[in-house]
Amino acid sequence: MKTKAQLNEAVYHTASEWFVGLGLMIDDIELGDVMKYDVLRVSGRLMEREQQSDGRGEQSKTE
Amino acid sequence: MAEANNPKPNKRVLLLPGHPVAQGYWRGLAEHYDLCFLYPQALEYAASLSLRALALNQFHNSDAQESALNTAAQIAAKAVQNAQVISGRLTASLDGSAPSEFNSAQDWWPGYVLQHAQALALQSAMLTQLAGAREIAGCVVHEDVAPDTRGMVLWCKAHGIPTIHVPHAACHLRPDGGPDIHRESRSDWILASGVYERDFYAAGGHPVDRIAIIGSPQMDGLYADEAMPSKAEARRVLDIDNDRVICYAGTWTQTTAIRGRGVFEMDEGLHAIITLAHEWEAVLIVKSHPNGGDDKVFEKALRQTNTPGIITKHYLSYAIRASDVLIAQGPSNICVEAAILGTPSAYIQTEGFDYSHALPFRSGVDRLGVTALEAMDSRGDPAWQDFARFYNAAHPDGGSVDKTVEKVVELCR
Repeated sequence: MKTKAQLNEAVYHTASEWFVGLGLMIDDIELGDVMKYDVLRVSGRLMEREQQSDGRGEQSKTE
Repeated sequence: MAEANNPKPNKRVLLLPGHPVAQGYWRGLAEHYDLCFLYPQALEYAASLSLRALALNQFHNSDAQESALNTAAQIAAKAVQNAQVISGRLTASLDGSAPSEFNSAQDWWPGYVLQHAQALALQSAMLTQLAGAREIAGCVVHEDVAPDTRGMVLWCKAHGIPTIHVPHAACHLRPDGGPDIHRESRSDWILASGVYERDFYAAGGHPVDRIAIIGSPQMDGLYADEAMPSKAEARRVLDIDNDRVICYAGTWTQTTAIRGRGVFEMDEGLHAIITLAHEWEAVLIVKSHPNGGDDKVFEKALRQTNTPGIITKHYLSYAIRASDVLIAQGPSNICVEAAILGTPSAYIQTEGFDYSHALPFRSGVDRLGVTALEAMDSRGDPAWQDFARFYNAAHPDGGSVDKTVEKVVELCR
């Protein structure tokens, strides 16, 4: 299993290399580059949700 | 429209996102340019400051709309063709340990691309309409990582228009903190707040000869001594009558690169601060982050533990000046602001981030009491002046707003 930091790094490289490499161009602008922040944000949100859904978050909040 | 009621002749247009964090230099820039905001809500704010301004959405018309939708549809078709490949690559790179949605990217990826393509295509079409009507002198952004600001910067670069990034805050990612989009800048120029920020972006690959140090315009207001309260005045206004006051700076979850233990760390930090406040018999001021964080969590925690305190997202100078020591959840820029205002600080460490200077004091929650005491005892140490200068080259005088305007005018001739 990858750690969260390793998952972040993998998504970052995917967004940097493969999404951009698709060549989705709009008026000479690389859409993949513009989307990169949101790809990372969505990835992070999903990881955060999984972390909170394992129960530890609820326990921590009610201490 | 503000422009229609203003008889003054047109100036060249300067593009800005319109985030309030940058409003300090709007007035100075407006003396040279007609400002055009990406965020339409900025127009009303600018009008309240009696500033001449435009909003990019004023250049939205049926031609721009049709062009954008057609372009986005064609892009989405390409995304459909590539969805299987993207899904496979994503799954392989994440080694099976990613969130489940990533294992079925072909089910949502094309729609996700369509949404972004529509937004970018429309933005690009409106910029094209603007360029047809007015001369665009340049583009100044407070960040160029989010889709709208990055899209605007890339459009300008594609059209030979100068782009300038004035970072709204320093990012304290450690060099070994892994890849992060905040290390990237797409603008031609960066106007850095200090040596730290210059070195941060240079290490991220930005040409160092395209980084000018001008100080932190966002922090200029802290140098207006006449507007800053004394400790006694701050405590009087906040109705605090106690020997010891701690300010706790909360944080928010930046999800573009989740690290550490997220919300659990925040809960631990708050718990440790409350424990410390009771040990010191201190009043606790919770200065929550203006970008987010749930103040109700703080309120509930203080009520449940019978901790005397105040919770606010605002009144930064009062919260800091009233306090004997500031403790931040992570290496927040509020530590620099506290140093400018003369209040020593410490922070609770988190994975991947740290200040590059020996200050502020730092530790995990396990030895927070010792760290906080060391920080409090350092009040007046000249090292805090060096720390403030490292992150804000304008310290101790301020004046970065004027330098920002001068540099923008120089670069956008």
